[in-house]
Amino acid sequence: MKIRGQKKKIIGAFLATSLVCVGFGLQPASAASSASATTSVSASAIAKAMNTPTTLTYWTWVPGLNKEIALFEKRYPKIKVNAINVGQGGPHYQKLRVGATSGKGLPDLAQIEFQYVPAFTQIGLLANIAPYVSKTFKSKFEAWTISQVSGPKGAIYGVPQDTGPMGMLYRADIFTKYGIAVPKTWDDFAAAAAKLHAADPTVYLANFGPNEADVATSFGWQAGSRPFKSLGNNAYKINVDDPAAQKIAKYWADLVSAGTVSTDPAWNNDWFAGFDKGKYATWLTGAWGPLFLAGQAKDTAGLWRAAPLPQWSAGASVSGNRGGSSTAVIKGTKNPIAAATFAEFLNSDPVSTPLLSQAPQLLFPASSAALHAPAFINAKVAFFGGQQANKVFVAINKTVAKDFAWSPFTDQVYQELQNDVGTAITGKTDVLAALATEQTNILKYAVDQGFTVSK
Amino acid sequence: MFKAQKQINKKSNLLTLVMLCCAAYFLLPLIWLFITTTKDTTGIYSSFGLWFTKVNHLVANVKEVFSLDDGLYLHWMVNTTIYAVVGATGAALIATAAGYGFSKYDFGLKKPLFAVVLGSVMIPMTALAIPTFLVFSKIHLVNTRWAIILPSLISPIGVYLMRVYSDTAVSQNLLEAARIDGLGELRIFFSISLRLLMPGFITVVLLSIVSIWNNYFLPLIMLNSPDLQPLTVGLSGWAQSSIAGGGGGDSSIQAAVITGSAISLIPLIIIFLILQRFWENGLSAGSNKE
Amino acid sequence: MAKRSRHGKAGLLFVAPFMVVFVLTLVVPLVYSGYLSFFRNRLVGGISFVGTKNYIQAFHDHAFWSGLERVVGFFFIQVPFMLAAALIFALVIDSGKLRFPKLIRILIFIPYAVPAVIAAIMWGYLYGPNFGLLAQISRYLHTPSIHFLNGWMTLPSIANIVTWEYVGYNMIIMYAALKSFSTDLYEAASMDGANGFQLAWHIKIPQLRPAIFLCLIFSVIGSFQLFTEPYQMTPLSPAVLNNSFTPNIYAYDEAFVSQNINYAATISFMLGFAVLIAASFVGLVSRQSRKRAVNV
Repeated sequence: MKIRGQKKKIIGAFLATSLVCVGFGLQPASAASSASATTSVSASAIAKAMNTPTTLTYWTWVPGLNKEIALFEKRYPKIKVNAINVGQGGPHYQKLRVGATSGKGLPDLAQIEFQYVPAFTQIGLLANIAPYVSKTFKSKFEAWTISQVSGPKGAIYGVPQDTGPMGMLYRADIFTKYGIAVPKTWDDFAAAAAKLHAADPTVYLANFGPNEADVATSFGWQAGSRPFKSLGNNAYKINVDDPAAQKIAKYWADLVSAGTVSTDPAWNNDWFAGFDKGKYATWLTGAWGPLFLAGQAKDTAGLWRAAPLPQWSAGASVSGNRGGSSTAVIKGTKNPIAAATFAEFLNSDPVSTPLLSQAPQLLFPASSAALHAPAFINAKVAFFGGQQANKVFVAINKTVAKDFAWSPFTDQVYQELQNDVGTAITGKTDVLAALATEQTNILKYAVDQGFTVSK
Repeated sequence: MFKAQKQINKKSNLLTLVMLCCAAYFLLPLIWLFITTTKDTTGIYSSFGLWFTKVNHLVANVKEVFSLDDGLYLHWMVNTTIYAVVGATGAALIATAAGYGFSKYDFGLKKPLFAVVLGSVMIPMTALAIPTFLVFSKIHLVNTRWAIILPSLISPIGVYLMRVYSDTAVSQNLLEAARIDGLGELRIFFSISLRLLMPGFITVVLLSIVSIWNNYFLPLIMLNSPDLQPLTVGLSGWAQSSIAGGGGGDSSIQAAVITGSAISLIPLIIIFLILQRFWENGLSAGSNKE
Repeated sequence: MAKRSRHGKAGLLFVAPFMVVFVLTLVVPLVYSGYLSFFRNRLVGGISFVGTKNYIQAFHDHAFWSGLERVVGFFFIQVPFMLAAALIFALVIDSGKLRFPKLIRILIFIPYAVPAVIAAIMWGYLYGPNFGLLAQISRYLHTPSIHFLNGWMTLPSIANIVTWEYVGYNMIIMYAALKSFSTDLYEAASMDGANGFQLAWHIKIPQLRPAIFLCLIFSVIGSFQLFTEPYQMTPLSPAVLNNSFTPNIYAYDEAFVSQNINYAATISFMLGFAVLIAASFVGLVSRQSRKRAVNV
C-alpha cells in the first residue's frame, strides 16, 4: 500500500509541516525531512548513539512491558526506557496532538495503530526510521504490516507490533444449548441471531455498538469496501459509501431493526459485564480480543471458542483487520537511533518479542518469527477450552485482504461514521441516507483541510 | 424565651425524616463508592452494590492503586496537593490584597477596575482553557506546573468577597491609628489587617482549593506528562484505560480506579469537616451585598 | 468609605498583583484567541488569514448551535431545580425545626468535595443499564430498569449528577446569608402569629435575593461550560454524548481531534461571549425584579 507517492507532494507536505511548526512555535526537528532520507547511518554512529546515556519515554497502553524493557536495557545498559500509559486510543492520540500543537511534552516513542499512521505522518509527528533500522528489517514482519507503516521513497514510520485479523469469538456452551451451528456465512449469522434471541430474549448473538467505527470499518474491509485511495500529491479518492459499505450498513441496520442484536455502546463497564454475564454469545473482533475477555469475562473462562468471520459468499475465506499497532519514533527525540533500535528490538528480538504474546499482553504479533513459532501456534488456550485459538487466527491472518488504505484523518472519519451511521443504525433511521451524509461530510472536511478529493 | 419563638423551634420528626431521606440521596453514591473499594473488578458487577462480598479486597486494591504504573498515583496526589495549596494560597493572598485595596483606598481608576473584576466573575474559565493553552504553548509554559498554578491564581469572586469582608472587618479608624504610629501601608496590611481578614481569607482558600482540586479541562490540555498530572486527570485516564480497546489494555484495573477515587476524596472531606464554619462566615458576607 | 488621600496610591499597589495575573491569564488569552480566530491552519497548505470566515462558519454550524441550545436548555431545567432544592434545604435547616441540623447540612454539602471526574465515574457505575446499582435495585423491585444514559434520558441523568454535586454548595451560600440576618424580624413576626412557612415566604426569601442572585450567576457560568461530566461519560452513551454535546466539548474536539485549532479558538471566543450575554441578562432580570419588589 502506498500512502503517498510523489516528490512534489512530499515537498508540499514538508512545507506545510514546517509552516505549522513555525506558526505554533514548534521547532522543526532537524531529522525531519520525510523525503528520501533512507540512507542508513553508519555502524559507528549507531554504536555511539547506543552508548549515549539516554532515557526514552514511550507512550503505550500495552500493559506490563517491564520484562521486555529489562531485556533491552540489559543489552544496551546506557539506554533507559520509561513506558507510560497516557490513555488508550482516543485520549492517547489527543495527547499526541496537544503535544504536536505546543511542541512540548511529547514522548520519544509512541504506540500508533496502523489506521493512525498516515494521520500522524501527515502532521509531521513521526520520524522516518528507515536510516536507523537493521538491513533485514522488512523481512522480519508480515508483509502487509510493513505496507501499513511505509511511506514514499522507502520511508518507514513505525515498527509493526501487533495485528488484529478479524475472527469470531463465540460461546460454545450457548451455541450447544440452543442448537446453533457456528455460522459460516452472514446469512447463517442473521438466522442464528433470530433463532437465539427467540429462544432466550436475554441473550443476543452479537452486540452492535454505535461507537465501534473501527469494527464497521473492518467489516467493510472484509466485504471489499475501499473507502480511501491515495493518488499522491495530497489527493485522495474518497468513497466511504461504496457498495460494500452500503451492504454492511444495511445488514446491521436490518439486524438491529429485527431486534436480534443488541446495540449497547461498546467499551464501557456495562458492556464488559455483558460478556461475563452471557448477554452476548459472540464477539466479532480482532485477534487481540481474547485478552479483554480473559480479563473481564473470567467467569466464562473455558466456554469460549474462536472461529473465522462469517463469509459473504459460501466457501469463501476473506477477513479484515481490526486494530493492530506499530511502535513509532516521534520527531524531535534527542536520540532517534536509540529510539528506533528499541522499537525494532521490542517487536522483533527473538527472546523479547515472544513475550508480547504472553500474559499480560497477549498481543497477536506482527513479527513473522513470533507468529509462526510452533509454541505460539500450537498453544492450547485454557480460556478457549484448550482450543488452539492462535492457530485459528494465524490462518485468518493469511486471509486478510491486503490492499486496504487509510485516510490521513482517521479520527474525523471514525467520528463521522459514529455520528452519522452508528446513530442511524441504533436509532433505526435511514442508514443509506446516513452513509451518504457521512460521505458528504468527509469530502467537505478533506476539502476544507486542503486535500484534493475525487470520488 | 417567648412562647412564640419556642413554638417555631419545636423539632419536627416528620421534617427530620424527610430531610434525612434527602441527605441519604447525597450520601448513597459515596457509600457505594466506599463499599466498592472492598471488591475486585468482577465483584463490582456480580455483587449487590450496597453490600460487601465474602472476600475483602480492600488491601489488595489499595496496594494496586499505589503500585500501578510504578506508583503514579502518589505523584498525582502530590501534584494535586501542590496545585491546590500553592494555587489556593496564592489566589487568596492576591484576592485579599486586591479586595482590601478596593475597600480601604481610593485611587484613580478604582471604579472601572472593580467593574472589570466583577465582570470577570462571569467569564467562563474553561472556555478560556484552550486560548490559555495556545498562549502558554507560545511562551513554553505548557507541560509545566506553572501552566496549572498561574491560571488558578486568579479568583475574581475572591476579590469581591474580600472587598465586602474588608468593609466590615477592618475599620478605617484602626488604619488611621496605625498610620499615626508611623506604620507603612504594607506593614499595616501584613501585621494588622491580614489577621482581621483571616476568616474571609480562609473562605477564599477553601473556594480555590475546591475549584483547583476539581479542575479537569485545563490540566487535561496543559499537561502531557503523567507525572505532572493531578488526580482528576490521572484517574480519568485510568478509568478510560480500564474500558478502552485496541490491543493491550487492562480492564481489571477498574477496582483500582474506584479505590483510587475513594482515597482521593478523603483529604478533601476532612478539610470540609474541619473548616466547615469558614464556609458560612466568608460566604455570608458576600451573599448579602450586591 | 475611604476618602481619596495621600495613601490612595497604596491601593493600586494592593490591587496590582491581581491585575497582573488577570491580564496574563485572562486578557492575553482572550486577545490571542481573538487574533487566532481570523486565521485557518489546514493540514495541507498551512496557515492563512481568512478574515471573519471562521465566525461565518460558526454562525452556520449546526453542531455549535445544538451544543449551545443544549446548555441553555440545561440551564433552564437543571438550575431552577437545583436552586429551589438548595433554597428549601437552607430554609428548613435554618428553621430550627430539625433534629441533627449540623449532620444533615454537612451530608448535603459533602458532594461538593467530590471532583466532577470522580462524580462522573461513580454515577457511571450507578447508572449502568445492566449491572449498575440502580438497575440492580429495580431488578430487585421487579420494576423495569431505566436506561439512564440512553436517548433523551442522558441529559437529565447528567443534570442529576450536577445537581448532586452543587445543591450543597448553593445551600451553604443561602444558609450563610440566612444566618447573618438579624433575628429581630423573625421574633416580631412570630409574635404576630406567623408560622414557619409564612416566615420563610414573607421575610426570609425576600432578604435572600442577593444570595440567590449570586448562586444564579455561578450557575449560568457552570451550565454554559459543562464539560467534565459528559466528556467522562462518553463511553457510556457515545451516540448521545457526541463530539458536539456541549460547546466546550466541541471546542476540545475541534482543537485536538479535527485539528482545527483556529476554529476551536473561534468557538471558545463565541462561547465566552454567549456567557457574558447570558450572565448580564440574569443580572438585568434580577435588578428589574428587585426594583419591582422595592416599589411594591
